[in-house]
Amino acid sequence: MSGKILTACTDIRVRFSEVDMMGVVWHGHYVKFFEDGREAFARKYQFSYLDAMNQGYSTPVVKMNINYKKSLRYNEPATIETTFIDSEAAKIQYDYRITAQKTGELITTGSTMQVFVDRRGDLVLSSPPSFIQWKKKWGVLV
Amino acid sequence: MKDLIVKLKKQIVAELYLEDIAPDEIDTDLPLFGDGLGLDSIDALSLVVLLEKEYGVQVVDPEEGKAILYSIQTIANHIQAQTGKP
Repeated sequence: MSGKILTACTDIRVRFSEVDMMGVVWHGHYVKFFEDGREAFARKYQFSYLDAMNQGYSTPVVKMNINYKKSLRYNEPATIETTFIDSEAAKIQYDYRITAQKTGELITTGSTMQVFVDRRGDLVLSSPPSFIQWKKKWGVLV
Repeated sequence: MKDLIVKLKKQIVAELYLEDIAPDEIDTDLPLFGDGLGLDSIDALSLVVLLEKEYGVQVVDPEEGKAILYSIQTIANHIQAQTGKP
């Protein structure tokens, strides 16, 4: 029996400072859009960086993938959809889909991977109990 | 022990999708991380899951983990010590 798929959506509107000389969102800003997606996910499912830090863990991003399919222009509204991808390993994985609100077009897809690092800076090899509890609470782990 | 080492090499190549190396090409004493086989920290997490699922062996402590996951030989030694199987 597979667990629930957790997804959160958040809306953005392209700022003037986010477009490049070609008039489209500069490719590097999508890293921040993914962060916006993660923040929205954390608010919806009570899974914040601060909670992890309070328990003695930091969760750095160690891998990221971005696929640019279409572009966004200044003032264009878009939606970031962030989906938690479950894994048995001690890592936090998300998939992202950014769509243009006016046309519904898929603009960007991507993924990130985070690991747990303890207070000494060592990689945490197995999922912290609080992470497993969180997965059970939200039905990811059944 | 020899059978365990052969099995481990096959499982690691399959689990980590190592495309450029055949299981029998991996030196049993080669360091798995860094300049050796070139595995990274994400691979280490997958190895930990492999050991737990396939052998019922847990690796929790990071310092201990570095020593256990050093090479195929050290992993095999740990499995043998934990399970008591040759």
